[in-house]
Amino acid sequence: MAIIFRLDRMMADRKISSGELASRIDLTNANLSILKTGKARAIRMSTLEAICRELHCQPGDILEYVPDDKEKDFLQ
Amino acid sequence: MKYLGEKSLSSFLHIFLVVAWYLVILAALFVGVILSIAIFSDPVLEPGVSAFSRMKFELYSEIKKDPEAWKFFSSAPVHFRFIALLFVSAVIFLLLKIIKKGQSIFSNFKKNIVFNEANVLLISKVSKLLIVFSILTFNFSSLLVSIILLILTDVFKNGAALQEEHDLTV
Repeated sequence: MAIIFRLDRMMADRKISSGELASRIDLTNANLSILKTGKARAIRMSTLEAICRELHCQPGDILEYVPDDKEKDFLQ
Repeated sequence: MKYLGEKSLSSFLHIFLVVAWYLVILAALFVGVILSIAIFSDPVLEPGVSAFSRMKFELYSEIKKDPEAWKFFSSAPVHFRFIALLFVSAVIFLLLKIIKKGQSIFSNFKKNIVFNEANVLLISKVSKLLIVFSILTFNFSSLLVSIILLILTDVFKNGAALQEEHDLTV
């Protein structure tokens, strides 16, 4: 998918482990790893809200749009 | 009454099908021996001296319990009688396949895996096998059940898609 979840960078900045983040935002480790590996189909507003609250950031800091290869070809 | 998970109806059915698998194999061996003796050897009318001919005599008396059917069967030519063996082996083969697939379905249900791509495949295969089986054995109530199962395949397919969507929503 073209939307990438940049959770690792933000977590390194805030010096928080993924286990701790998972317990703080009431998410299982399995679900957090789905989010980090980019397998997630959708994200609940409540989850996004909790992540932003715990990491003290804006949604734009953790979400990033990168065009797919097909779209890149189309643009060139 | 629990239907899914440990100590539920599905786990009971799983054990039942495991037992049924061995019972069907035993019954198939027994029927196969009796049928092939009836087809390929001459009738033994009196118990002979050797143990083998005595055993054959016992088997014949077992077959001859229905005299009318036996008369019809024994007067037919060999290749016609051979069809009976093919028919019985086809029915038993189908039954064994259905039991094996049923075992996998119920072991998945036992592990609380319900709406899954693997289950969709298994249920669609079972329903198709069951349709053939019920037509072969002229069992039309079973045909109705298998057609309902075939429709349930689509329900399970939609369920599996929804389940995947739900599992990947964080």
